[in-house]
Amino acid sequence: MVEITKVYHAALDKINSSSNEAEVYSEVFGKNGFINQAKESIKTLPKQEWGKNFKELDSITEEVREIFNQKFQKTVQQNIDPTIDIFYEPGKLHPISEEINLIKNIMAKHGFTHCDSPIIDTEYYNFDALNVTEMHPARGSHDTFYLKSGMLLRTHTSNFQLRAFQNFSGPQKLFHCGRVYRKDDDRTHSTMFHQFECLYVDDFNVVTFAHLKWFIREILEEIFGQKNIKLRFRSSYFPFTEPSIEVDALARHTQNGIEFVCDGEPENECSWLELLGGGMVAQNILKRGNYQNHTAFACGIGIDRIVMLKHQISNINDLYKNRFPFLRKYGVESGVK
Amino acid sequence: MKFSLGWLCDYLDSTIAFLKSNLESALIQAGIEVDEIIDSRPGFEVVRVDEVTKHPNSDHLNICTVAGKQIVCGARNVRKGMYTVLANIDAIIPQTNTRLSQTTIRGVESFGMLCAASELGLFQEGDGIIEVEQNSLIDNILFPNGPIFDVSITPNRGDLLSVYGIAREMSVFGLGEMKELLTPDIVFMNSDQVVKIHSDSVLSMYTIKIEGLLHNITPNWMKSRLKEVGINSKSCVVDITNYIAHAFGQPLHAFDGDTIQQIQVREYSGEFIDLKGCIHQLDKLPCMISDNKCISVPGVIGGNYGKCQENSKNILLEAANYAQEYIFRAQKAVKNTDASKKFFYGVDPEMTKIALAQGASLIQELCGGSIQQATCALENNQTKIQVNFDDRYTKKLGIVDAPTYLSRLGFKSNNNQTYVVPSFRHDIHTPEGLFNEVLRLYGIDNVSPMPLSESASKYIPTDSSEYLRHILIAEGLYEAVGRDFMSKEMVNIFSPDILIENRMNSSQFAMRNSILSNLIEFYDSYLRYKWQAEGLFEIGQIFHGENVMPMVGIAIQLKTKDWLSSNINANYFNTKRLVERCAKYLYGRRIICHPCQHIILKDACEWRIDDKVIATFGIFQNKSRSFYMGELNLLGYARQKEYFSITDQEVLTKDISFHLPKEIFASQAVEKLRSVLPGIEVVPFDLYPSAELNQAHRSIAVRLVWSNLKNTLTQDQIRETLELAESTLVEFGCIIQG
Repeated sequence: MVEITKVYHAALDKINSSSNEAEVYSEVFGKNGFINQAKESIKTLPKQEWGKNFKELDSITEEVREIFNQKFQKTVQQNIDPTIDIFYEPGKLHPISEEINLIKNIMAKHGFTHCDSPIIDTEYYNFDALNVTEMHPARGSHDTFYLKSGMLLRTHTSNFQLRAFQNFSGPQKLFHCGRVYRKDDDRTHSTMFHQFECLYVDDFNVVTFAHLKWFIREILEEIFGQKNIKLRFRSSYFPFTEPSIEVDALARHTQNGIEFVCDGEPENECSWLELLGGGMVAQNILKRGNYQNHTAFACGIGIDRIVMLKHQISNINDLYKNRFPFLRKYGVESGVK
Repeated sequence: MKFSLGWLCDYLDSTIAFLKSNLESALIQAGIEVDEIIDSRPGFEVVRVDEVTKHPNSDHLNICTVAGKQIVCGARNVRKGMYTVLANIDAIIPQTNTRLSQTTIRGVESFGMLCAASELGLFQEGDGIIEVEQNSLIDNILFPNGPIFDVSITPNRGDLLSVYGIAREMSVFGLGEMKELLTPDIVFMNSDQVVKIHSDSVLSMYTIKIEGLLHNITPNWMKSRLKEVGINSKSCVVDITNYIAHAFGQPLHAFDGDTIQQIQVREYSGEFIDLKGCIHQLDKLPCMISDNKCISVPGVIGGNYGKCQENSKNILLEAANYAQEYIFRAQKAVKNTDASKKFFYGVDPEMTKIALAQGASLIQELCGGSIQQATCALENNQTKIQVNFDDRYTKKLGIVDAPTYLSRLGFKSNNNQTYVVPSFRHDIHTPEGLFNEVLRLYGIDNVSPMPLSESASKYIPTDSSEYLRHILIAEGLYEAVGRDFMSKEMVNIFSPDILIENRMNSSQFAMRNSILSNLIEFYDSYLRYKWQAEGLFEIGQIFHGENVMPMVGIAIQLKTKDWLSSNINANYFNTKRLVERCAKYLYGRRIICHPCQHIILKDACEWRIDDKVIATFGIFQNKSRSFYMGELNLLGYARQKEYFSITDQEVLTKDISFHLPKEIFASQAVEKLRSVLPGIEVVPFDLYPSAELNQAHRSIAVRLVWSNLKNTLTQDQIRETLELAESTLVEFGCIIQG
């Protein structure tokens, strides 16, 4: 029989009599300390007595450890300092890619399918197919980037329209989102920027101007996260839609960015902001794509402009300089919503 | 297109006050964008001159007290009690377009300026400062013709490039009836005596000879109207042609009647000096020729020879209409002018003769002289456009009175089905065009929105590249978005094959063929400014021949030894691991890494699938800075999904370590093993003493992983495999360690 209480008292005496932590630890808990010696002695006993003795030893060991910890103000035994934060902060998504994400999700929700369209394109798909005649000023080398091969960099995402009509048949809800290029470079124009465009084609008069009106409000409200925005639909002109419209929203510049004025709100210190263009696709384009007896609407938006409005960014070039202060301020921490 | 409300009221039966409050909304409903309404000038006020005293240091200057301010004034007509206009400090003086500042004139401070009419941009008789009525409103003085509107006209609406056209449109939108346009009764004789036309580009042409002009001084009211719309006064005849062009949208041209007697319109090649003295070389362009000299590129600009001078007594006034294709060519060959824009957008063919008659009678009225000969060299014979109306569009929206709207807009029909388009609306060709007209007048705001029918999208918005973005930002990298162009400097390095023909500047030399080119420029500035960001990445496209490839590029800070890694190469491998992980994530399988020579990266390696490089990694180094860079092709990714049936012994691992001969890369040995052990994953996991080459002994440990096992392997099977692995390595020159 090992005298476990004796071990207990010897250990307590040691803890009380010395202030050298390492020495106490070694004499009590060390390899040849009291506790381990007691373990060894237990092992010399017949096996049937091991259980009871070990159990008793375990309980006093715990008690002794608590007293030791109390005296030397130990909480948990640690070999390393795990509290150093070795991760720097996570990066951020570019505000444009975040906006594209948002739009793609909105379009998917409305049942629209993404449809690809080339960046390097022919004059036909970018201009002729869309009723932009050879005489239209946009076709000049002053406004459009031409490549040595004679191809051009598309000037709008509308170059997906005729392709979509040619590749599909029957009712379709399609959209395209991507980069477009124009020879324009100032605070609000960039040689490359992003556009989004959607197209809904169905049997004649199943899709009407009234649907376009509903849809534009719907997507603008979802893009800007505000309901009942005061909108103004203006008659306009694009060669590829008839009728054509442009849509403005009444907005107020605040310290937190753009705030749209909603129905019933006061209209002081507000101005109309042009947001979107669209219309009913010209019948001759539908026919070029073998859609007889159909109607379609199309509308599109400049994504850079939305980002600039949302974040009060006044110079479009800041979006493409990717300077750290900019990305830190306007970047989005995580797109997971 | 600018116009004053006073001018608009010449044609529209309305008042400035009424238009002031209703015009803007009517223009917007009509689809005319209002860019600016100029109706006030800050810093000006109507004041009473309270006191006038002599300037102590000047004979002709006075010191005036107005509105409690001291103003030095040199005008002779200044007197106590008069009412005039004061320009305060910071006001912009219309005459000079300069900002007024506080000055000291001969030792006396002046806090503003009492203005003469000319300084206010006004045309009035008399010297000295302007004298006004006691209760005059400053805006009425500064804008004698009412507020000025500046509007944008879309290219389909040439009919709106005139004050008359705007008035006609606004009349339809309910702002007043059109006043009757009194046109002098001039009879045009069909004759080619004055102009002989040998060109298809001319659609119609008329001339009027006016002889015996008495004077050539523009009246102030006309100068004022022209100035408000941005046209400077020249001589009375020229001003009248400009005035008529702006009023009715039909450009006129006046020649000196003594120099120009007969004109031919025919193709011309050679030198042309325009009326401003600029020289152009023309190539087979239809021109107006007289005395074998080119006197005008018609519809665009007149020539120096035969132009109407200030002292011309006899003039030849001409008006015409031209084909759009010709104007397009001529504009390209010479220049864009106000006149060519009007022709390009399209003038009203029925207005040509009327505008010419208006111009001639105005010249007679203001300059004297008499109309001698009015000829028609080519009569307008453009056929009227007829368009069918499709009432399905309007009925669907609940618009019932479409015929009424169309008739108000000038479209005529006997049966409410086929409409004759008015001559000024050559933009309407289709039923949809008619529908658009009805819609404008009905009001887009009045259309009740209808919800779309719901349908499912075949599109899944989050693809692999989307997840990749999140992986990379979690690693501390910021996302960059660069333009797809390559600068000249980068072109020299990367030699892309898609070059831009008409770049704006040296930033757009070519389409980029590497995702790294922008990142180098971006991240270099991060190091230069010492912005402590872990790194940048960009997901974008690169261009190779006909192929467009989606890529991800990364640039990451280069770190030497730190407290986390005792080994100098640790950061290289930690960063490389990121690229490798992304590659594995996207391609769904292990890909072999090879050493490679890279254009810009040193210590570079690449990952290949079927001999195609899908990723690269290395260190970028320029004169002063270096950082890690990697790129990864996103094109071939289609994550292969593998479905397993899970068994208890699904994974078994065995480790082997061996010495590598000096000349062999670790990846070569690993690849060799993989080739002889199909179905077994071979993963290197330890390296001793370091990754540096040229060490006497480099030892590497690899783990063989059997996964997806259906049955437990026997000891013999395992031994067999290990022996095969070891013998392969030995053959390869490696020494097995155990």
